[in-house]
Amino acid sequence: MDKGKIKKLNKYHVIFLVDKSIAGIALFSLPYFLRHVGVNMWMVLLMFGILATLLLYPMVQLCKKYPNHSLFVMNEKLLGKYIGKLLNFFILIYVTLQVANESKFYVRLVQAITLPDFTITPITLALFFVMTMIVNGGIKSIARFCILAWFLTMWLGYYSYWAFSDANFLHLVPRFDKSLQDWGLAFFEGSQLMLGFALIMFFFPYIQNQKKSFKHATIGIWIGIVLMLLISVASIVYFSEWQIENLLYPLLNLFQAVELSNVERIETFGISIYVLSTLAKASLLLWVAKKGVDALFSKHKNKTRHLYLMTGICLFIVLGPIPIRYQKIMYEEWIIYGGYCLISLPILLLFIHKIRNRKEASTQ
Amino acid sequence: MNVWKWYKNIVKKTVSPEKQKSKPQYEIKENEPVTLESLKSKFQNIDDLIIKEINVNDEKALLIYLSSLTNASMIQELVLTPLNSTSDNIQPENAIKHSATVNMGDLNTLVYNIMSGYTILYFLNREFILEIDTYKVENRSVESAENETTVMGPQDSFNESLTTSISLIKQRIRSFNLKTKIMQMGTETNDDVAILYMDNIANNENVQRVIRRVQNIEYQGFVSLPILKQMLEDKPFSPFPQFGITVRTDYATEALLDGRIIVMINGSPEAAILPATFFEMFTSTEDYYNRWSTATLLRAIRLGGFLISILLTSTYISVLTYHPEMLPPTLLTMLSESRTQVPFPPLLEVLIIELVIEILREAGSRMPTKIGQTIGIVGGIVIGQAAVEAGLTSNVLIVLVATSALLSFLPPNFLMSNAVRLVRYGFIIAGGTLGMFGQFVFLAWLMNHLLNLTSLGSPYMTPFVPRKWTDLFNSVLRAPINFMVTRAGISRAKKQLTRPLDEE
Repeated sequence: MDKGKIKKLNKYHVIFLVDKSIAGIALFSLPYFLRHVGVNMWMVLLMFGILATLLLYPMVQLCKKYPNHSLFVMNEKLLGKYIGKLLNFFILIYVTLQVANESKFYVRLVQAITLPDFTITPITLALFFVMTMIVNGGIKSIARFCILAWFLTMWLGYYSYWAFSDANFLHLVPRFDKSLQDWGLAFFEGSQLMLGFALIMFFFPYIQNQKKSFKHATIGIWIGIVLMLLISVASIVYFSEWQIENLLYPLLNLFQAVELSNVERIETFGISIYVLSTLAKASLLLWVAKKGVDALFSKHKNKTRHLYLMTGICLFIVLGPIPIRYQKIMYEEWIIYGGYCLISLPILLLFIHKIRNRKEASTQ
Repeated sequence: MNVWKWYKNIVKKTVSPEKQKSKPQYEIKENEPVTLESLKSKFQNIDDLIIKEINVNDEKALLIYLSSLTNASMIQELVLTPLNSTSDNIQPENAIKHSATVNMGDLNTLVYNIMSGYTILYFLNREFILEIDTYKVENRSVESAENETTVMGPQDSFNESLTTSISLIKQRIRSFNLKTKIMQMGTETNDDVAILYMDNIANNENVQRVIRRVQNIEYQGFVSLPILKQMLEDKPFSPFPQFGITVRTDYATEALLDGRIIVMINGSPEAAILPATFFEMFTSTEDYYNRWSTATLLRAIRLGGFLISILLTSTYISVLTYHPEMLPPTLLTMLSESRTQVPFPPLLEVLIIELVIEILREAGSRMPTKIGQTIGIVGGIVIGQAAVEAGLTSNVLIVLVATSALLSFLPPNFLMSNAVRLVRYGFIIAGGTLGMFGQFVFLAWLMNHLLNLTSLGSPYMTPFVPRKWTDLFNSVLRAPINFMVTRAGISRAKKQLTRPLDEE
């Protein structure tokens, strides 16, 4: 676990941490989230990339002002102890729900496609056991796992070859046939693919080269965008408009297009190996949640038992008897609104920081 | 580690305080002055101790030595002949040029030296002692390495004599920068442990770390280097070896030139290489003797073999148990037909055959070579064929298990080969309980474990965990020798370049 405030993340760690913090398991439903704009979805992704880069700037600027502190500390310093702690509590709820969302999405997929005779309990327990082990190694362990997960899953992109071989590339031509409301809906639902990059505000104190962190994080974001573009382009050229609008997990259908002589139903393999990417993102979120509990209950001091506590809470959210309607609200609304609040928070904090600085300067 | 603390407490409770009082675990060696009585009391019940009275220049002296650590010709040649050939007025210490005067207040050192093969001349009248190194025991000659054979390159290997092993390295590196630090270790055995490093190349922090770790170990004695190596490792609970180990002189020399540190111990032919990476467990010195393209192919086969070896039989289980839809109809029919008479589920079937292979391997390796070969043939052909015909297993599985067993022997490092086989059982059980998802969850756990391992504080998974981009030229890809101009990142060497870059 992370003892002390040692700067231990190099540029590769930062790039892959940021890359893995976006998309995650939502990648399986990427075309579905962006279905409202149909074949124009690749433009939404490009806009997401530009917006994320723009929003990253205030985040990094804020973190540079407090290079040894995470957002949890900054909240308390800038907003005062009580408001700061209250805000930290909301952030803790947000990241906890994110861990549960990421895990539940994946576990349900595994249960539905690869292990239909199982309940989700053993799958979830196995997933959380490994997740806890990864987080127990600290942020550097998570960063290393992100690098490895990227390399071990990236080659799956090769399977898009079959989608492209049956492609109709005319689908890629932009069509401005969608209303503003459709674009808005695509932005809203699709934003859950992108909001994760805000997690940089929590691991920023551990970055070695903080001056160049913006550049490295931007590279991470755009690596993710390129991957998502590949999936969306493959979907656009392979699926009909009806399929784009109605397929819940289009990536699975892209896997089904693969024709190999010795293996069939390659999606079983695809979903199974995707556990690496899921674990990478979920571990990062669980680490932030653990840091949140540290901030609230042990004055930011590192306590390993908080990790087990958060694992238990997340397990309960995934496996516990929570009514479906509440789950829908939590996973489909709270998470997105929470993400919006988190990415806009640094702008507010920068503003407060500036006012404070002016006040201090005038009093001196 | 918490498990270690728990175990320590249990041991403390079981060893009763009375026993501890009467027999201290580690005696504090208090020094005392040298007298004939104190010497005799120390060597009580040691029947190979020889004490002879001789006359030297009309002065009575005792010749004391251990007959098991020297022989009569050495005593004659190094002690008696020089004494006999001198005239009366020459003192014995001048007659025996390589003798040393013993400090009469330091009994422990004198006893240690006698136990190390020294002969002493004790002049009783004037309380004066001379010691002469007459150590002479039979050692295994320098032979070729049986466990690390290569087609090309030097064939000599270390043996159990530390001085011989060090001399084999010093023959190759004739530089004053090759430092040799020798320490005594083992509270009972007093073994010599040698730490070798290139002073101008090896990282100082690494050298100090090794010396500190060796100094901090307190143990009764090391019968072989692998025990000491386990005590020096960063994570002793891991199934993976975290330092390299070799008996090859060329491998050790190459490691020294790369900025690594070598640890050797008297009585053991192996040398530990510190630090080392996961990828290096799949490399051999022969890779450098081969053409770069062949070496790259071989390295890729070894590393690919590792992945196939751990995943092959577990995939058989998971596909047949949970994902039969993944198989094309022809393959599925063939597999089903081969399993029609097998009464066990795939998990049990694989475990039985894997264990049979393990037993055959273990039995073969413990027997004399000729019987071992017979066991291999009997096991491989007769038992395999009989098991298929008896309907205990499918013939497809025999092929898969045999392939993965062969692949597990690809790593040149024996300890890594063992680790691969152990880890495979984890995959088999994971595949049998949670299918392909279980296999990949276990892979995730394994990768996380490997990523968190360190060798002397540096990441074990270098170059996958990046240290230097140039490491990629000596990983799975073994670049042409021209491109290998830098030392490995894990060495953190003082000198990064192995040759100037402005050469034509």
